[in-house]
Amino acid sequence: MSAVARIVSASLRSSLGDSQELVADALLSGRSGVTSLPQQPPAQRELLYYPLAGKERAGGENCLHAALESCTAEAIRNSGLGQDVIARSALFLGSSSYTVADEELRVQGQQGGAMGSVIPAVPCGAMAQELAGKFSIHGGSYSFSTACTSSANAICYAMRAVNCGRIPAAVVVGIECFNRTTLYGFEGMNLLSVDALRPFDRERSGLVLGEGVAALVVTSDAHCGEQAGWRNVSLRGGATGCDPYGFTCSSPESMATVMHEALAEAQLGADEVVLVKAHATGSESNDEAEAKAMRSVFASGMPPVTALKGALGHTLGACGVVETVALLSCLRRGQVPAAVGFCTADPQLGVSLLTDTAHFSGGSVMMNHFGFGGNNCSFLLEVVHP
Amino acid sequence: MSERYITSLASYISEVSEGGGELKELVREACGEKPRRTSRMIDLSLLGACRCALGRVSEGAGLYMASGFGNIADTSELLRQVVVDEVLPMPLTFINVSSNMSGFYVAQRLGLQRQNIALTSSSGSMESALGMALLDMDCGLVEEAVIGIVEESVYPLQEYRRAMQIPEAMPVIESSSWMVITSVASDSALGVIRLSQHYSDRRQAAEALGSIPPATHYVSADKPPPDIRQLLDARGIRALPESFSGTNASIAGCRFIQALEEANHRSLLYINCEAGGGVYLLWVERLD
Repeated sequence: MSAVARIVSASLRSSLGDSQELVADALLSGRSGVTSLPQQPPAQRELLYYPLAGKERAGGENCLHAALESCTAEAIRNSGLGQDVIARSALFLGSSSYTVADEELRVQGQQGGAMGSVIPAVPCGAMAQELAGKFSIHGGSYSFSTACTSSANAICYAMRAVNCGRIPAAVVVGIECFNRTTLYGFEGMNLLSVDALRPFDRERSGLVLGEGVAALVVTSDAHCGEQAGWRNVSLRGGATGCDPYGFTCSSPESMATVMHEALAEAQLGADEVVLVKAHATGSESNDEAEAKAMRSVFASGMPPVTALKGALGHTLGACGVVETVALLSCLRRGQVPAAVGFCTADPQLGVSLLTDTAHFSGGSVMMNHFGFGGNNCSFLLEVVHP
Repeated sequence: MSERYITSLASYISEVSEGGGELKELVREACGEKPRRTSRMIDLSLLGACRCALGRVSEGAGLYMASGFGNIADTSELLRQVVVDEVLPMPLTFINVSSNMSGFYVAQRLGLQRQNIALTSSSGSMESALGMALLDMDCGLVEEAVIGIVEESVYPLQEYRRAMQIPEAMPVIESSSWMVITSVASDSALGVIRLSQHYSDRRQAAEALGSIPPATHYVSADKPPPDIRQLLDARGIRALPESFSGTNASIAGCRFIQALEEANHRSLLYINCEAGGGVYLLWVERLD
């Protein structure tokens, strides 16, 4: 690779607020954005959820498009890149549910009508195409559909496209908004926790879903002008792998492989990693597999490990970008947030998460993501403490 | 770009009839076993992928799949269950709706353990899947890539026709077209990718078209805009006789792979002109 891909700006909408500052404040004070949804059929109980907290949520039931546009606009504006560069850039978008929320409203509106079709009329990829058109991004648009690794993969491919000089910059977006299909799908599989998302905790009992929209702009030094928002965050390398033998939970071996490959692409040793952001969904088997993989990769010494889903919820396909931006909002202040929801270490896991905010003085940070369909993704950030 | 070589091609494009036909049996023939607990989208993916790549690729090959509508049948069923019937989704339907589940089954059958990327694209499945595969090759991450474009339909077909606004006179098509590409030249290569490039404006694309030889035939989802059409006509680059106008870009991508497989034309061009002005060009020459 010939260039270093830098993250020069970012924006975030989450259950903890609609700015990076609000989210950092909340994360560093150990707050959670969880709430309880009123019981509605077909659920037999009140379900926990992490809804968007900002003005987009206040604007109506389906906040998808407003949040997507405002978030993307903010990241592009703060990147300092000129429109000539943005026009030659590409859009990389990751989501699990894309426009399912729109489709639910459409079907609901047609109930009792003459058509009543449940067949989606808009392809998933239309979201990225429309967004690219709105911001005059003409270098291509790519919509990743790899379940919970969708936007993490979007980051990796954006990094490669910039590093190879194929495009001058990339706009990377992760989005997940409330929809009943996803929520009740997880409920139907008994994967949702009854009381709390407790990542890596001995008492963990499942995941809790959440909304999130985040965007970041990646470019190389050649296009990183005087006006660039950030200058201290780069993408060192990343890897994607698949485990074709467990469609709801990858094996520890395949998770470890993708972490090793990410380290190799970043030309880093495991002992050079100063922090790991675990995927840590709070589910019994996934946390166990992830912990085993981490013990294998960091056999000579486990760096500090944190996790964000206890604070932000599991934002599924958006979590790659959402958690990257949320974590960077804290790291750029020189602090690592504690893992909300983690209280008691599980001796079976052998990995503890941070229970207190920690000091961060810069270095290489591993970001791990694992999804349905055996999709695994790991990448390395390099953060220079300002 | 560095030249990349096509080593295998397989395409299944079929007009569908109510009930869906004998797809499971075709999959059994191609894969050596009858798939269980799989959706139609997964079956279509397995059919094309196994015909193209079973026993012909190494475990280090990357897998790149794209679709316009993805698992539209399972998505429709989930919407029916949750919104109309207000019941909890069936777990298997919910699992299979993930767009990367097709890739999971394909990777399992082909024995792949590296990249398994599922993309959705309303306007360009070909450039999405091939684009990410070529990017990984350019970065030296994979030497071999399995690339597939898959589109399914939904039953009952009348409802599907209404939702997609497909006229009665036009056939409803399902497709699963695949190719294997490598970064290493070999005597057994079927074709070479001379150009795969997305242009952010039409002037650049027009310049690139100047390097395409006159005997080339092209496939395009929609009629190219007048300026591009004029250039194609002037260079003697002709459309394949079959009309795919009005179908989506994924089907056009599948047709392109099918035309490569048929080997009736030595030089083939895939053109996708986007509404925003961008143009994607893929030019392949057969080597046999």
